[in-house]
Amino acid sequence: MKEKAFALFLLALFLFTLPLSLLFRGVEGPWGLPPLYLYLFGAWALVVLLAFLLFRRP
Amino acid sequence: MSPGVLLLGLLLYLGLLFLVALWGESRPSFTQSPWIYALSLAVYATAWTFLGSAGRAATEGATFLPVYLGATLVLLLWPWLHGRLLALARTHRLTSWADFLHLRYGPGPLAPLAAGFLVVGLLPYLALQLKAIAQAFLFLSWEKAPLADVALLTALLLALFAILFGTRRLDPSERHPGLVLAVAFESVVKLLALLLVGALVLLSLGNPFPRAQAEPHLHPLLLPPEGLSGHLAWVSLVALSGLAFLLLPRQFHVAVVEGQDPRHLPQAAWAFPLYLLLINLPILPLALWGRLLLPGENPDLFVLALPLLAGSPPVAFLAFLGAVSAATAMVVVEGLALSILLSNHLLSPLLLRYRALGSLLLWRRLAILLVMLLAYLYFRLAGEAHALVGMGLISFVAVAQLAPAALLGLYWKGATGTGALAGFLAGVGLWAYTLFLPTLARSGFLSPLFLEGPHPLLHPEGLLGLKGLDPITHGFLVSLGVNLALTLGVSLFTRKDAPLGGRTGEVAALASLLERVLGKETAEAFLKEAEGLPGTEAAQRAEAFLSSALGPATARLLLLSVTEEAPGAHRPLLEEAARESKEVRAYAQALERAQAELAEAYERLKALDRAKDELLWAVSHELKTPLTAVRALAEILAAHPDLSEEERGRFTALLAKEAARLSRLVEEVLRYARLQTGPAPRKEPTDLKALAEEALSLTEPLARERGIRLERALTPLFTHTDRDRVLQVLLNLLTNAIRHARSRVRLELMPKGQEALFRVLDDGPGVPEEARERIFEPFQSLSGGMGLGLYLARRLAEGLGGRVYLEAGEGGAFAFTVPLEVEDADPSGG
Repeated sequence: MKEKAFALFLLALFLFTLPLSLLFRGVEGPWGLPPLYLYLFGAWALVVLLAFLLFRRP
Repeated sequence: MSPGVLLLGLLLYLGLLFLVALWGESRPSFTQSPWIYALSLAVYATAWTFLGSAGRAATEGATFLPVYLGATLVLLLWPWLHGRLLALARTHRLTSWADFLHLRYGPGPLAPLAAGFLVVGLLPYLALQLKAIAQAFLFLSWEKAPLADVALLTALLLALFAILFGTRRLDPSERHPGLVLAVAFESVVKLLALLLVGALVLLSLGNPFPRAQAEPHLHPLLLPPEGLSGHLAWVSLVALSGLAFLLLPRQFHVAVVEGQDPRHLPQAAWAFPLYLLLINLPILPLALWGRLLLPGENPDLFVLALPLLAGSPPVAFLAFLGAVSAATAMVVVEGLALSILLSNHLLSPLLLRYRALGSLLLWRRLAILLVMLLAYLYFRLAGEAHALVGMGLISFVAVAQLAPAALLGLYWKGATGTGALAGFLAGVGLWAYTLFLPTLARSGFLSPLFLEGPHPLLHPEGLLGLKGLDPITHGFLVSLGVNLALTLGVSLFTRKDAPLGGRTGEVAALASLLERVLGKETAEAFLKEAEGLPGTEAAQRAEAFLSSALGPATARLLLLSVTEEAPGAHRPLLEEAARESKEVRAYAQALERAQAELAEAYERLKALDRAKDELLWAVSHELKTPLTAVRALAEILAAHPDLSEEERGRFTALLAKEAARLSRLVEEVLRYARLQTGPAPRKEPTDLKALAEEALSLTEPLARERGIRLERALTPLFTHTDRDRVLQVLLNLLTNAIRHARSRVRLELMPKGQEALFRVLDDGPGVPEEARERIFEPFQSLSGGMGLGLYLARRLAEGLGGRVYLEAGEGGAFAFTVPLEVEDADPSGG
């Protein structure tokens, strides 16, 4: 599990520290929401979900 | 909203908190839950989160998020990152990172300096909370009273709260279930309050995004930070907040001192990031509506102003309570943690010197008050000129200066006290130069020179000509970079500090010391723990009790009076020296081993060579006799063609006999060679009685030729062995017996213990006493044979795990044993 947690940490680090200014240049995205925030909260929720799946009790 | 009503509501809420804490104290088991642990970690979300995040989002866009993304990253490694610290904390009753530094690097200035610096470095953070509550109170009450007066009242109230909840006893490592439950309760209140404010604003004012997208001046708030410097600032904030989450004194207090159950760590690893995600969901909509509808308002107050604008003063009041919850939880726990730092590392050594240790609890309470008043002072000097988040980030950078010494100390054996101190001092100096002093200068309290520096290359916010970085990113990267480089570099070039020598003492004396200093309850707890422990371990436990209450330096001084140096106290030094010479010794040992192996191999080779020579000599000698006879007979036949037919027939028969003898000799030698290099025995289920019958029938012709009667007494026996080799042994023994017998040979088979015993008996003259020793050596024959039969029999028997030996008594009596083995049981069971 230690290796999986470290892999999740690296994935989260990658998702949270991407060069965002190269990826998100517009202010309007799906459902009229700003794409930057959609990405950040989506990535964050994904990391929380994966952490839940990894650390929940069997 | 009337100030009186607001104050009444505030006091009622604080009263509710007090009741929650009291209820928690009476039911400590209730707080032993992973949910309570995860919620207590949410003391991380302070007034900075509740009020300041919307303010930051309204002015600088998405950069309010890295503060929580960094903490999320740390939580993913929480079970292992914190598990190790928890184990150390349980053993040594650690109460802060400064305690850990003392434990790891030994006595010295590092731990007291770290303690003092943390107090100074966190003053902006505490000031932030005072400012938040004061601002919120004045905003909702429409009062224009000076901000400072409300902040002072707030500071005094919160100091009282911290004293009541956190310093009821002297031992700070003791858990405070009431305090933890109150913190968890406040975490729920602030989350619900912020979500409710967000829901109300969205329902009553609608979706802010279309309007914000239509306003170009708000677009920077919806886009990522621009350029390399913007990205660097983003990544730095993620790293900085992760380190701060790990190293903040209040986080250490709730995560290590109050929460000592490692089973709670996995759930916190996902539950706390989820909490952070939820509490940040309403921030951006609130920030955008604030910018759209309240352009002249202080952005830090949008969370309070928007519910009022939406026509819901009760929700505004709830938001106020949320802000109070966020601030009080932080101030109480941080104030308590800082007062422990102050009293354990700075005050208690002084009190011990002046023989006033008994008043330590009073001094700890006064330390809480002092910390609050210092925070108030900072707020008066610099706080009014800064936004909430800016003040908090200065504290974050201060706390991060502990990271190299603490984390390298935890995971790298090579870190030394000198390296840690050098790095820490340089980091602190640069933090003060690049962040703390310029803040005071910007507030007008210090000369503007502190904003410019003495030289353009020494500009506090652009050292060595660095440009384009915001002050926080610049200060963080410069101070932590130099700190890390010095900690690593100096550690590599300095000797590791010698660990403290162990002490030993009598349990009764140690308990008496604990009772004198910490009270009867602690002494009883110690006696329970130390029962049956040797003196050294009891002294360690007593030191841990004292250390948690009085600090490690004072604990060691007090312990000296009732303990003595433990035998082997210098063992760590010796171990260190031994470790240094370990490679040399290992090399020498390897050399010795290789030399011994070489000598042994040489002796073995010499013995083999000698054996080969002896064998060659013996074989040559044995071959020579029949060869000489063959040659002589052939010469006679060649030289005397006139020999009679009868004579010629006799010589030819002799020639054939000698040739047969030569052939047997060669066969024996080949068998000997096969034995030396042959394959391992192939074991199989064998009927020993049938094998004995077969050996008798094979030797029957020879016995008949010699007029020998073969007798038998065979018990049915089965074993797991190499059938062919056993048969060969029996043939050798029977042939030998038939050669020496006068009239009969008897073969017996019977079980004996765990072995099958064959006995081969003959009525011959037996083996002379002087020949008994060498009868099993090669080429030793008493009957004119090759002299290899018995030798081969013994070697074959030994290869099967058995023996061949000569029994004492009249005649020849050879015994041959084979182990009785059964097949392995079925491994699948049954």
